[in-house]
Amino acid sequence: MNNQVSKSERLSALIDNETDTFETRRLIDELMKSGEDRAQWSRYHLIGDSLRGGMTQVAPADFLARVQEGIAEDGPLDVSVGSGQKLRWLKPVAGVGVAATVAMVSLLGLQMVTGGGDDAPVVTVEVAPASEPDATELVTGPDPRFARYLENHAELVAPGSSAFARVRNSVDGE
Amino acid sequence: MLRWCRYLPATLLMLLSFTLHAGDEDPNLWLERMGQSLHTYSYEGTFIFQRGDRIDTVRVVHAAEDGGYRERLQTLTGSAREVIRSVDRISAIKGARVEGDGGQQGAPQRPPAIAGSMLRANEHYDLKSPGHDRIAGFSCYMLHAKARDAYRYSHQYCLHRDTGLPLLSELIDADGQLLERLVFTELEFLDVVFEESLKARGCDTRHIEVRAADGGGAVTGQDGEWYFEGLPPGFSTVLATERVFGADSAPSLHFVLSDGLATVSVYVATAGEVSEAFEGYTRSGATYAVARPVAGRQVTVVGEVPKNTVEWIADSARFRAADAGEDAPAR
Repeated sequence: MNNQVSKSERLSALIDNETDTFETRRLIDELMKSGEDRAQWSRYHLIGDSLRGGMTQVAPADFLARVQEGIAEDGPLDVSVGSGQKLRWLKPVAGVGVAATVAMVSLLGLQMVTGGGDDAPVVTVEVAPASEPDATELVTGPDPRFARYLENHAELVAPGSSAFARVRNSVDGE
Repeated sequence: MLRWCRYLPATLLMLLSFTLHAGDEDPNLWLERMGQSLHTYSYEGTFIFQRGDRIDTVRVVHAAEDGGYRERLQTLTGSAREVIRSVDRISAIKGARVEGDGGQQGAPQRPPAIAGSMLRANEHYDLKSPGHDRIAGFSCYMLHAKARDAYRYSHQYCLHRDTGLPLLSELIDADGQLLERLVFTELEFLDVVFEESLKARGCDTRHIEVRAADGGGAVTGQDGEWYFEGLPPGFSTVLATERVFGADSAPSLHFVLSDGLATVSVYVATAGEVSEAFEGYTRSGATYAVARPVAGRQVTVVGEVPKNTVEWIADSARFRAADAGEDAPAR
């Protein structure tokens, strides 16, 4: 338990740029090795960005994994003092964080469920006539025939699930 | 006019909870506490909901009352919208009586979407705790429920140390990719919730009421009975009732299935409601939905489970005609 708390505090310090060079190098090594640590690191960034009010979009969930793959292809990571390589890790997340507006995300989320305007994001729907179940036709675009069921299901899900927040997207003025 | 809502003092309940779980690190008990926390404690706070690379920030006021709860959700980002939701005591705590589900008849009633069955959860999830963390300024217990097969997603929670309230909830697919994440950034437990704080403040408000059906729900239509045969491992029916979509619509049968953590809804549209039967699927975030005609009705399955699971459940739907005396073919 104490070790876990200690790791959390160290990761938090890393994000706040409060670690010295040795600790930074050690934490980055640990992040490279532990998926759980990377998930926690990502979570702390999300919370921190939110509290600072500058968050509009976050890096994809597999961002670190992709960075890791890229680094592996490029060779060993240099984390020596003043190298700037450490910033290669940290800056892309902050950069992505201001790439879009939450307003669009919220609006598009609503449209995805309700089959709203023309700008709604594409939802892949595979539709086939009932009499010909094998002859499927790939159609793109939100399908309103599913909307009421998606909404009703989301309304019933309790806050114990992450689906809890989905009720927010079900508002349609019905 | 302001009116005081009367609730049990949250502080006393938190002290009681702390006494009960002090020194206890059993993941099963923590799952149970999580389920209880939702209709036991009142709170207000702010959480982030992340789905893929999209995020929303939501303000919530949650008032536990009479075994159920009321809550107000308001978007803080994007278009201003709000949801006022109330869940009655029966729906929150007991679910509804299960009928027409073979061996499940007379089974203990469970609320949907809650880890009500510890044994079932244990069979199909590998439960472990990596320790403790801190979310929104509160110490919380990390709980990982890793799916043991491909029919469900893995869940990760961080549960408030004293109440079991999920401060963090994550859904992970079989490849380890994050599908959804809910995390509180600010939270305050309340002894008293002002009625005013539960009222709609904007015009773009939706009111949702979740009520258990009178008599515990039904699965028997006018012309026969619907049930499931050969569900995916771990899933069983926890709720069966009717839903009406629109004032002029005939009621649809609605089943809620669960494996203890994942929740799946099955809707069976009545004959008069099916104008054009279709077969297909869609996906919204971590939610899959599949639709197909079964025994002349439109069956739609929706849940936070992989696509193959909603398809399996749709294949499990059976109809027994009232005058047939035996099962009709599903398709």
